[in-house]
Amino acid sequence: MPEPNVPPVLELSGVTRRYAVRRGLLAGPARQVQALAGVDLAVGHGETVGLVGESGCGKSTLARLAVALERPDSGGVRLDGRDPWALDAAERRALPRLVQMIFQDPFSSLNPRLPIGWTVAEGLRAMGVGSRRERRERVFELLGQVGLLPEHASRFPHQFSGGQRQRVAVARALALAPKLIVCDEPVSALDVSVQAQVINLLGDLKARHGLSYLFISHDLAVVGHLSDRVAVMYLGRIMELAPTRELFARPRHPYTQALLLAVPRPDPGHRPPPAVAGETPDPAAPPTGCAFHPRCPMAQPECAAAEPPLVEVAAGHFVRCARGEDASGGRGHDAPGPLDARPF
Amino acid sequence: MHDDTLLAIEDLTTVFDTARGPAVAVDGVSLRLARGRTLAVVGESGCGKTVLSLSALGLITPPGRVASGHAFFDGRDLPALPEHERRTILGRRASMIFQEPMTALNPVLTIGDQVSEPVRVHAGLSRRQALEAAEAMLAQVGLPDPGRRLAAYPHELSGGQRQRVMIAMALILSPELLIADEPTTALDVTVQRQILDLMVELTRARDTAIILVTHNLGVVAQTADTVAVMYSGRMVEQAPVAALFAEPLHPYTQGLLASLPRLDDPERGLTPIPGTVPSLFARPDGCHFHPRCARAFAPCRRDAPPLLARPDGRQVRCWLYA
Repeated sequence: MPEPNVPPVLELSGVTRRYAVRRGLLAGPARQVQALAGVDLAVGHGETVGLVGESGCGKSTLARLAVALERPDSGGVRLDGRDPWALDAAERRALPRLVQMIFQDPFSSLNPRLPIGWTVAEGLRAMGVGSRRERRERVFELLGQVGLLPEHASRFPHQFSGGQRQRVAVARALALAPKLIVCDEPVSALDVSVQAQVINLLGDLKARHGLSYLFISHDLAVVGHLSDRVAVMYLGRIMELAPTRELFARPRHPYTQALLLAVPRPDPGHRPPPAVAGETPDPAAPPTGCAFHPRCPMAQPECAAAEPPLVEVAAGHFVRCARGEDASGGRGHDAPGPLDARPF
Repeated sequence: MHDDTLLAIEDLTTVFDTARGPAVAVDGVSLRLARGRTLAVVGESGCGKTVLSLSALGLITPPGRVASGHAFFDGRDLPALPEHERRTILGRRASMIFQEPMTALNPVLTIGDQVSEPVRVHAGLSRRQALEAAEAMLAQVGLPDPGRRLAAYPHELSGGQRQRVMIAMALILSPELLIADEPTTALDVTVQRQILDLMVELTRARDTAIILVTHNLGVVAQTADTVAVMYSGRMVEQAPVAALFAEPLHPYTQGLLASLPRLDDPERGLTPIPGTVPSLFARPDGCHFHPRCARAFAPCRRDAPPLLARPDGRQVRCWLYA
């Protein structure tokens, strides 16, 4: 939870972002895609907020807005209480001291022609931090923190495995001691055994440095492991936001329920109910009313008419569903619900 | 060999001849798949699971080659068969679906042409009859408005719909064997469930056996009858699915399960396997897993363990059980 009197390290309020896309040279005029349709989200100091959703939900657009790589069309972005788009030039150059990003593919995010020590020190050089010698010492220290060795500094990205490259990306993100790291699918390209190494590393670093993460992933189990709170996105909107344990134990939104049930569990005895039908609609032609209503097993006529607001149904638990507080209790006690009896 | 054996892979070794020397991608793997059953081949990148499935059908091309061993499909050794004989078996009695349907489908042919091709070529139907069969098959895989989709091109479909088309193509001749290589990895999780359910439903109805190649242990648990775990070219464990998840024997399998973040227990700590998978060209002596294994002892560093058959029918390649 964000503390009341300290501004959160990241705050998005009513953020919208629209892109013009062309499907091909001959496909006619560009169409408008609403990547974000009014997102409110805050990340407190020392907090990890997970962001889950399927392709096209807007989670990567949200990441770029959070690190001020892109400007919202409307709504506000605040980093540590300040609008990054209202900073003067010198303050703007100092933004990397506040927020850093880790990407999915560490191979394309590291310069293949530079030794990784050089890449890790890039921010330090750009900010004029320390002498050459001090920067060298700092790089060795950072490599140690991510489980690499000083001699790795002179090697090139291709000499590392995928997991090691992601460690390098983490060391680079840590170099300027930022308050917030935005992680966009940081472990999705890694094998399971190595994925767990990087998840544990991110958890340890958070505890050691009091970091905040905005952790974006399509994998609910990974997000659940690292996050204090989880936001579920669908077609550019937050459909549900709750503390992690609460979200997994008592998902209220039918989309969240569908997502949790769809994840194949490593438990051969588990027999999940049938999957929710349909696929995510084209973001250029979103449905009227609630974005999920065409696939929702519980949709009512009013769901097609108006988009419900995101409302707080329990402490810190927000749901965007016309059934509101009723969203999980509405099935009654006896009726078999979309959730089976097994606890998550 | 049992009567219901459809595919028997025996001591199969596949080698890639590269500029850096021969790379053993599959190292003496033996497996048996019964008719109508689902065998999952699971492992991390580079373990040889895809090469194994391609080798079993005789689909390895240079610089790769099946260096030794056999893969008997209904008694006939596919890698050793002449090309034309293998083709008649493959099109009609065995088929494959892949991770990325956009690259597996031909972008310049209509859905109708592609789905009807197997029945034109192998069942000798006319174009019109074949298109009718294709439309019926597209309806079975749940493609909305199948009649109109016959004239559509792959790029006009969503990822989930393209994978439905792949399944339609693969199952239109009711093959005895389907090899599904990461069939749902590129899909969103809600669509992944739909496609897995569809694949299971349609193969059951046809008594089609599946070799499911995947890295996803959740998919394995929900789909397979038996599981073969591969590591660094070797099969390290084979067991019925319930036994494998209840009591994994090989330290690698144990490590995989302990590494897995779980929805049903998000606060449980993860225990990663230290280190990384060895390169194809720098595999350790002895057991390939020993440098990452907490329980390794002297024999593991010296000799590759044999595949040990246990009384309960499980197999494990580990000196701890010798």
